[in-house]
Amino acid sequence: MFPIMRFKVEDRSMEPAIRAGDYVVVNRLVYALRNPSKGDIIVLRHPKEKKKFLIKRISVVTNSNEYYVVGDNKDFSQDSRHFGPIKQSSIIGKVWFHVKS
Amino acid sequence: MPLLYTLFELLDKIFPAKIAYAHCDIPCGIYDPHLAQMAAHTVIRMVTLINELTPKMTPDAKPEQMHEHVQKNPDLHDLVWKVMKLGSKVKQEVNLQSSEDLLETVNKIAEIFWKTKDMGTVRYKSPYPTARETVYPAPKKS
Repeated sequence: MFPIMRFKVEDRSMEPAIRAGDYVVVNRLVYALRNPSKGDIIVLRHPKEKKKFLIKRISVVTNSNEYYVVGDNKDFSQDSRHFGPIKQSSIIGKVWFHVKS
Repeated sequence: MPLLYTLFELLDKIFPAKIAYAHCDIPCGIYDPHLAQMAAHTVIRMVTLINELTPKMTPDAKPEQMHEHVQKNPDLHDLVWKVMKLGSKVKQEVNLQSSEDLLETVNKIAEIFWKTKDMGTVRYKSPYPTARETVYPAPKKS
């Protein structure tokens, strides 16, 4: 497993923090040391389309260690409001830094 | 463009980055079937035209007809210009007034459009969350 991954962001659901066209670099080791927490921007696998990656922010961590993720730009985002909470196994990693277009 | 971004773009050419979707298939609930209908009509039209095409034919441009529309509707030129300006403005600013002006200008063009098709129009409050007055085609009043 490569510890760092690069993604290019499509769509606008994380605006204004991350805009369509920006790159993000994801750290995959952070969550080996600690649990994901509220406010983290993460890249995850789409719960229904496994080959698709999404970028979202964690809004709620439940007692059973599931995570509700939403886009910052709520009107433009399909997220846990549609597909429910996600498990840690769907999380690729935490957005470490992003490169603006 | 920042140097780092350029570097990432170069890197992309060698090892393409995976795509992370923010996922907004249908933003804000503003949709109706007419775009799909128009797209389907466009495909049918294009297929028909391509099938009719012979090597000597040129595309079906009708400048005289366009000139006639502008003569009959002297406002049209100005309205199109306004749509271009407002279209840029609403991309640059978060400005409700400009957005409403844009809709109203597009509405006026829609009225002219349906008039050139010999159809009447009505104005109704849209069924979308915007709930603004919108022009729809209607049978012509005799």
